[in-house]
Amino acid sequence: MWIYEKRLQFPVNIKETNAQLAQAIISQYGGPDGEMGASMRYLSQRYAMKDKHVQAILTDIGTEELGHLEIVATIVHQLTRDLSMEEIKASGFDKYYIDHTVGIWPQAAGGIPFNACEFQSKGDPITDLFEDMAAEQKARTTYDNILRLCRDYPDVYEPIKFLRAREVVHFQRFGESLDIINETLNSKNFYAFNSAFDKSAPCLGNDDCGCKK
Amino acid sequence: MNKMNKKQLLAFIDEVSFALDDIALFLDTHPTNQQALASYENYKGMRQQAIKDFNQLYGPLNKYQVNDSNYFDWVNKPWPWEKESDC
Repeated sequence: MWIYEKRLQFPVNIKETNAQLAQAIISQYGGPDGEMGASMRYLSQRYAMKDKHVQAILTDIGTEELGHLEIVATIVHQLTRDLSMEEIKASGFDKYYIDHTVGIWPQAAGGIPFNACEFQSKGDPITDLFEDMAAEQKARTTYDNILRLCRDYPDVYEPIKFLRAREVVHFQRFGESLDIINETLNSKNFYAFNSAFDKSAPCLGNDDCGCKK
Repeated sequence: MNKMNKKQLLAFIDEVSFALDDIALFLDTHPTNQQALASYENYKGMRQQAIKDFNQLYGPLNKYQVNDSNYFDWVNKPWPWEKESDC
C-alpha cells in the first residue's frame, strides 16, 4: 500500500519554457535508465528476495523512485506547459506534440517508448542486486549528461543535481545489500545455487564436506 | 503556533522528510545502528510537529489528514507539479 503526499521530494519551480531541454529530460521518465524502469525494477524484485534487509531496501528505494518519477514529470511539464506553437515548431518538439500535445508520456529522449525490457527481475538475489547497482550507475551517467545541457538553467539544474546524488546513495545501499546476501552464502562458491529458488546448496565435492562423493 | 509562512513550512517539511528518507535507507542495511536510530527519532519528531502545524494552518498533505471541513482543500489546492503550488 502507498500513501500519496501532496508535495515533491525536492522542490521544482521552473519559470521559463524550454522544449529542447524537456525532450532530453523525458528520458529519465520513460527512457532506458529512467525512473519508471527504476521503480518497477525494485518493486518487482521484492517478491523473490528472501533476505529481510534487502526486502526493506527494495521497498524503500522503489518507493523513493516513484517520487523521482514525479519530480522528472514535473520538470518536463513546467518546461513545456506554456509553449507557443512557434516554439514547438522551432525546437523540434513538434514530433512529440503530434502524439501527446504537452501531456507526459514515458519515452526515451530519442522517442523510443518505455518497455519492460528496460529492466530485469531475474529471481536470483545476486543477479538482481548486480542489475540494481548497474542501473544506479547508468542513471547517474544519464543525469551527468543532462547536467551538461542545463548549466545555465538553475531552476532545472538543482533538482537534476539532487536526483543524481540519490543514484550514488542508492548504489551504496545496493552494494551493502549484496554484501548481506553474500554473507549468507558459501564463500567458496557464491553461485553454487540460487538462494531464492533452490532448497539447499548441492555438494561441492570438498574434502571436508563429509558426503564421500 | 508555527511562525513560518506556508512556503517556508512546506520547505521545512521537505527537508526533515528527506532526512528521514535517507536515514531510513541506511537503517534498512544497518538496523541496529544507534546513532542513525537516534537521528531518525529526532527528525521524526520534527516532522510530526510540522505536519500537524501544516494541517491546522493550510490543510491536508495526505488523504488520512482529510476531514469533513477540508476535503475541498485536498481537491482544490494546487498539486505539486503546478506552478501555482508552493512545492
